[in-house]
Amino acid sequence: MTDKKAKDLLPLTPAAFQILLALADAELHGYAIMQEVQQRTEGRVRLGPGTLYGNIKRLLAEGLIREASARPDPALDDERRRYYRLTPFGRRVATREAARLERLVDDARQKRLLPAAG
Amino acid sequence: MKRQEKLYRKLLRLLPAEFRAEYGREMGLFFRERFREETRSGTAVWRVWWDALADLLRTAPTQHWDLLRQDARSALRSMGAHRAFTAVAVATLALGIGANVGVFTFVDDLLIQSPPWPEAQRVLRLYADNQHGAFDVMSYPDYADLRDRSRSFTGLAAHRGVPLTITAGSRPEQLRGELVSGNYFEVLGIEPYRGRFIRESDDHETAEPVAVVSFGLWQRLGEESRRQLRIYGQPFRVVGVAPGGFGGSYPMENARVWLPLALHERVRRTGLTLDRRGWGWLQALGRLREGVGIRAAQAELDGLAAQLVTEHGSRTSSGYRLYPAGRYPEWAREGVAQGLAFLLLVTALVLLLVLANLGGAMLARVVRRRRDTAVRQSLGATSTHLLRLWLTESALVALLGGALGLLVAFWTRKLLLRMVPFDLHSGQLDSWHFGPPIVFFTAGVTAVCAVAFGCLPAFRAVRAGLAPVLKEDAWTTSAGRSSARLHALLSVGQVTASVVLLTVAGLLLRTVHEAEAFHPGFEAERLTLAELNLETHGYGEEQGRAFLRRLEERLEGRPGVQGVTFAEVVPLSGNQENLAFWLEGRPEGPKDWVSLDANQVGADYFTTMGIPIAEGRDFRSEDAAAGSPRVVIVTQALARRFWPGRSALGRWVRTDPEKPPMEVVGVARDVRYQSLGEEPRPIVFGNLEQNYSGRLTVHVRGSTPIGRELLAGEVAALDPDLALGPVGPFQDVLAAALFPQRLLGLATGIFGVLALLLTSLGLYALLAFAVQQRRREFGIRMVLGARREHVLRMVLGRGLVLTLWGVALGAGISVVAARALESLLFGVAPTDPVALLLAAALPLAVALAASSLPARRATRVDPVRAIREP
Repeated sequence: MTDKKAKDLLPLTPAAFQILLALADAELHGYAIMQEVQQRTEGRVRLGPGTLYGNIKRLLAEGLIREASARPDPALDDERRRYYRLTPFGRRVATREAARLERLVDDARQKRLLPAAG
Repeated sequence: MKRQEKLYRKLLRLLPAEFRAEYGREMGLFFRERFREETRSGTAVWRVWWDALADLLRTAPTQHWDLLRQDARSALRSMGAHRAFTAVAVATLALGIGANVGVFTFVDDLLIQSPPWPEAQRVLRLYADNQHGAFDVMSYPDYADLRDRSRSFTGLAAHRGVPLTITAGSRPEQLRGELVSGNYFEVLGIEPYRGRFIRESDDHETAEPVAVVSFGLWQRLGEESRRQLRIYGQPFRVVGVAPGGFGGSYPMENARVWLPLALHERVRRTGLTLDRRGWGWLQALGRLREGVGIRAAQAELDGLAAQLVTEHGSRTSSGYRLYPAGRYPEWAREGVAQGLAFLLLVTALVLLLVLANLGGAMLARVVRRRRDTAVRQSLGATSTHLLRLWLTESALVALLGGALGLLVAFWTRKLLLRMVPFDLHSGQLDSWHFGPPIVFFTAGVTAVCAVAFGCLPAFRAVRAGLAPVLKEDAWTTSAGRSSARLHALLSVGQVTASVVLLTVAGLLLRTVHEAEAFHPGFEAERLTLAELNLETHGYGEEQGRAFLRRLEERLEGRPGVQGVTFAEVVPLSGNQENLAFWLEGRPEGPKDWVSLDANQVGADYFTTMGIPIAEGRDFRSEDAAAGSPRVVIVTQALARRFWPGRSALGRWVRTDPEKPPMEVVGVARDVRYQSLGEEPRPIVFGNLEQNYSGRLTVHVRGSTPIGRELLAGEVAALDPDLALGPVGPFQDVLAAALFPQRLLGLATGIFGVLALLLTSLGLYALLAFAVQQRRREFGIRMVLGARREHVLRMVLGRGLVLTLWGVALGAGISVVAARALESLLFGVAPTDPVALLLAAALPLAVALAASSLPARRATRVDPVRAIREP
């Protein structure tokens, strides 16, 4: 995947970005993605099943994530679940999105909407 | 917990099937976990459900939309890959949809749309309803009484169309005008383009003569004439200009000038005064008061009519009838409505045929694409997905067809409007009314098409796509065979529809032919008419008689002229003049008169018109001599009605109790006077020689049709200032009367040919496809010794059998359809053998031609190559 293609996908929707973030350091199944996002954002972002799988479907189609093997989650029950992982392309897109957001925050700082970074 | 999860899984049906199949299970697990966790941490159950529901409702539309876009993309790809098929499909659909929408728009123009006046649905027309049926004119006193006594209307206006000669610039010209009551424009509720309309204060004999002109006339008038118009040499001050497109309250009136009713004598010179009850000449229209319905108004009028009859006896109309003012004149509406309903049915049939045709073609594609389908299915595509793909494609084709169909509709409507024998509120219909009815209708028709021709093949596609097809030859599997059967059935259906359409077209075209050749009681051919108004040009009786004599002499001296006569009323022209008559054998009191059609005609009228005198004699030139007895000629219908079983000759009639009675000297054969289909009417023909009138129509019979120049030239030679009114062959008058039949005949004729074309195309496609599919079989047969003629016969035979089935079915349905059509037919039996035979023979011939091409191709199959083919 070229960088040009990565740029075309930006900006990501907040939900999609959150999913990519959740998968940045772990292979997770759907419910676990939701849990990770909820914990990391201290409950500010709560993904419903429809939003979650709708986004997963799109991220899969765009090649940002990939299905890993399906296996039961010992923490939940014995039902098999599909695990997802970030692709290298997905990682590049997420990085670019983060950089984009950072520049945005920098701009906000310069305009003194936020205190200068310590 | 189990129940909650079950319910949630049910709710997942909001999502597209594909999405559900992919993620449904895990979404259920997700919901279960979350439900457990949340309720454990003390969240209310409703809150959990609320979140879940909101989440689903947010997701469902985007997922459906995504899918639709995806389907549309692949459908477009497929359409691009089969460009020829797509083009033919879109074109045929455009024709089918376009014809339907065009006819519907035309119906909308004629019968549904209200006239372009504010709150036009509250404007009603009021006709006197005498013994001859509705739509009669009324006298001024009757009108005034109704206007003053009725409470149902905010206003009741009277009007009457008149020919006018105006002088604007150097040359006089004749055009249509309307005499209107002072409240006429107020009742219509329209606004003048400039200045003001005629008011109540103008509608008095002593008021200053004023006129309102039409927008079109105003535009071409000079500066001088825009202020003052000379009508029959008398000055009228122009006070206002009507809005563009307004040509009177009757669409066909085409009025250009409006004058106050009270000034009628200045432009009509009837010698009659407004207060004469029993002199019917006015038409009325009223605007309903807020909250009053047409039924209430009719009930009130019935009461008023009874009152007036008690007061004035038979001098007044026996009743009145209200009609919502439409664009199409009420008296012709019923026949036209029936005709148009039928036309709509015919176009619907054409559309059905188009759908059968496309359905067949789609079916062929299904079989051709069975490998593609089977591969998709084996790769895990669900049936619903495949079904949706087909439907999306047919929907897109239908959409394109619908869009193009609007263009076809536009031209169809234009063509149909051109056939209307008069202006339907002039310029206002030239524009394309793209209102909600038409949008809904087009959208509806298009949607029906998409589903109709898409669904059937789509279901087939899914079934035919089952795995065995991958290996087998299409026509040897049961799915392939049943597709072939269905395809054949569709072809039979098309032949059937063509036969029905052609039969109907044949019957109607023969009706038009018969009606044109129909003898209305007089000879219509080579009869030229021209209006002439001497009185308003200042001719007195003496001068007038002299002028007419000289005109007749001059015209008769011209080569090719066989006869010249004059009459006040032209039969079948829609103009009528009713007079009150006392007749021998009936009570003679002042209130005991009956209203009858009256016409004043010159010497030679019956000879020139070709109306045979059944009894007695024609008018003679001796009748003109001073002191000779006053005479009339009546129709057989009159004699039958008032003097049944006895001779009418020698009996008297009178129009005025003061004047001497007139003797019946002749009984004329009945003529069609107001419409071709009417029962013979009682008519009194007065003698123009004894009863001078200067408002006439010149009737000239020629050995060939007489042109305008000849007539205008002779008139100008006698008096250059005299304007000749509209000149035209009598056939024009007849054409207007025959409008519905002609319209229907032409339309079904065009559709019948279109149907034949489509059917042959469909049959050709079916056989060509079958031949292609059976190449191997033909090859094997030929290798095994089958002769080429044998193969030819097989294919031709199949086409012929299908066609014969269609013809047989079609003939059966036609016989039933023709019976339903009987009231529209005229002079042709519904089982007319010529129409039926033609309708059966044409499709047969076309079918044979269409089959021969694929059949010859079948004989050219190279056995060796065909067998080797996969």
